[in-house]
Amino acid sequence: MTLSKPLACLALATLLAPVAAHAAPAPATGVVTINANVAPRCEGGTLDGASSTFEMGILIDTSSGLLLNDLSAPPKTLVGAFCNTKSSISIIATPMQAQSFTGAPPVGFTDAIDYTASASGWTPTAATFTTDAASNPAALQTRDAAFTGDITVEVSNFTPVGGVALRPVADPNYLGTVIVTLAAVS
Amino acid sequence: MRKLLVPAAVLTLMAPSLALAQAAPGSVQGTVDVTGVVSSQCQISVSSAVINIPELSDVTGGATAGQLAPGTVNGQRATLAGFCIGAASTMQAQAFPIVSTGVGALPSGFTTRVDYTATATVHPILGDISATGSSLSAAPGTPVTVGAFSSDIDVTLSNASSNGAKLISGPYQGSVDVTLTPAS
Repeated sequence: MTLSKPLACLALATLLAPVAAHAAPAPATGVVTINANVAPRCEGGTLDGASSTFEMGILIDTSSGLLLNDLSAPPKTLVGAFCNTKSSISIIATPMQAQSFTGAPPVGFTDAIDYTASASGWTPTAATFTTDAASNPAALQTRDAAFTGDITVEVSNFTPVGGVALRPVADPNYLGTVIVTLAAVS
Repeated sequence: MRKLLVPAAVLTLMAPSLALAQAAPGSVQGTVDVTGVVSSQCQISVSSAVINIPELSDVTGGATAGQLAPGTVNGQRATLAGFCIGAASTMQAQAFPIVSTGVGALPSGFTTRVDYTATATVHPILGDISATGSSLSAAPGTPVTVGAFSSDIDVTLSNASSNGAKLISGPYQGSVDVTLTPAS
């Protein structure tokens, strides 16, 4: 018995065809896409030291009754402030006002002290605010990129409200407030 | 004639259409073997999925404020599905970092990149098999043999880190590729 040639060819073709059709099985890939977001955010950091108060002590020259011309207090530092995007820093301050004295001060006296507050370290130019200024264009500064660092807040240039010749009225507590604000800018 | 009976019977089992070869005595007969091949292959029937993370950073304040909050990434999960035919088929996972693009020079202390580990798990009858990939590496993770299976492919994220840097504000995107490679 011998296999005829046509049959032999058929058998050969039958054996090889499936192999040729699946010669190179390809890998298959699936993709998980991760979409996420980080919102604009600023943090003021933490105050270095226990107190947030500028302790100015005695305000006047006790011999003349006039405001001391060299009043100062150690600066306050906000440590670890940050903004994760473009930001602005602004500062605003209120005059130191006698808290117990009531009524209008007598002639030659005043019940409030002006000063200048500044916040430096965040922008090339410090943000400053002077309480008796008609306007304070430097009180708002911007930074074009995210930043993290310390902000130093200082007070200086104390002057009596109404003029340097006025004497502050006696009062156990003159109080002013400085507010520094960091804000994300879109 | 007796020798021809056995192949004829085999022929009947393997290729019924050729049973006509059982011819009358005296005629010529031949044998045609019919075989088939099922090539190993892998397919992914659910080939895409999305993980959405609304906020990556720590917004609770404190020492880690602005940094990656790892819990926003770790444990995130998505599900693909697929199968492989072939006992030596493998699976690889490649994780691409979660990044924000379009940011210029990075300020000191900030980053636009979150790295993590992706784990892809299939569920063959004999037990789960996982492949991992880290976005710290530009290459896929080590391939693992998954053999023949047909199941979901669960992708989970873990070990998220931004190395203590704060994250720049903006949209972020990453991805995980899961590749099934057929082999017999």
